[in-house]
Amino acid sequence: MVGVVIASHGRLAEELLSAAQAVVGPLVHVKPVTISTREVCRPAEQLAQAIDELDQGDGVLVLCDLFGGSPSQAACQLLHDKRVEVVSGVNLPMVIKLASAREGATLQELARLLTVYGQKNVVHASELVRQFEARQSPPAQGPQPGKS
Amino acid sequence: MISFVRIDNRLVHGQVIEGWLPHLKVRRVLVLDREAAQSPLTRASMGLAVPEAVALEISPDDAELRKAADDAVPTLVLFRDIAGAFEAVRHGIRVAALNLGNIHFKDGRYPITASVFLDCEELHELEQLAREGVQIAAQALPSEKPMGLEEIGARFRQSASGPAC
Repeated sequence: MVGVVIASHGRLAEELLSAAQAVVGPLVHVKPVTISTREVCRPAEQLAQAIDELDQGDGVLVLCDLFGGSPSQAACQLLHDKRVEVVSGVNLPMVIKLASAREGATLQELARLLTVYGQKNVVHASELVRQFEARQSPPAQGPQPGKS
Repeated sequence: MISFVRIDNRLVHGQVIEGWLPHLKVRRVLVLDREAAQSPLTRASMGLAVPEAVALEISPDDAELRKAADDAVPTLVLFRDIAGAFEAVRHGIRVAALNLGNIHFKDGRYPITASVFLDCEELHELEQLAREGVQIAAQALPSEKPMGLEEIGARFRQSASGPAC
């Protein structure tokens, strides 16, 4: 099974994991890593250590919060390691998807799948709901209020 | 044209891209760092992270800084540590102001703000720069209130519980 590091600013990684586990139950071989500007340890070393812990031979996917931010910069420093793929812009649907998407998936497949899945799950919800509602109940016939 | 000079041990990262670039409206970011300049992966990931309208240059030495100082392109200059900026000023590059963004903790450094830690030598270098007319301010983000050198010195002595140097 592909291991997963969630790397973020602040406590976002931990909280994403905890929220996802509240929905789908325990997620194994997933580790949140906080990249702090206060850390003495260098971010790339923090991530490399987590990757070593998680790799079971199928590689490790690093899910970062913001492309260009410190966590993703650090992760991209590790790309000479062929066990590593990096996806940036992690959201809760992606972490939840880890519960079902990893079975039988290679590192590359998981990275591609989660990238598409994460993007698909950003929706303009109010617009979707209003459109759906409008289709369900067509506007009432007859004279418009205020007109005679 | 050097618009802004910042010390940030993370160089190009979220605070710079999302915080300072929209605020400063510069058209170029110049990273002066030997380590970053020598790493193709770092060059690629930093290059992709900067918005398309902003040019990114990563240079191991002051040569690019000299050029940037003399042309018309508004430029944000990033150094990893105070020593780099100090050296550039020593070499005759005019810097009006120096922003202290992220200088992480290590042995010998004392806390000044949540993201700035300084050792004795760095404080001395800042004082020297101030004497030469450089405006010093610790400020991680544009929305934060800048902290001047006087307050920085006071906090240093407080953290070091006395005159540590």
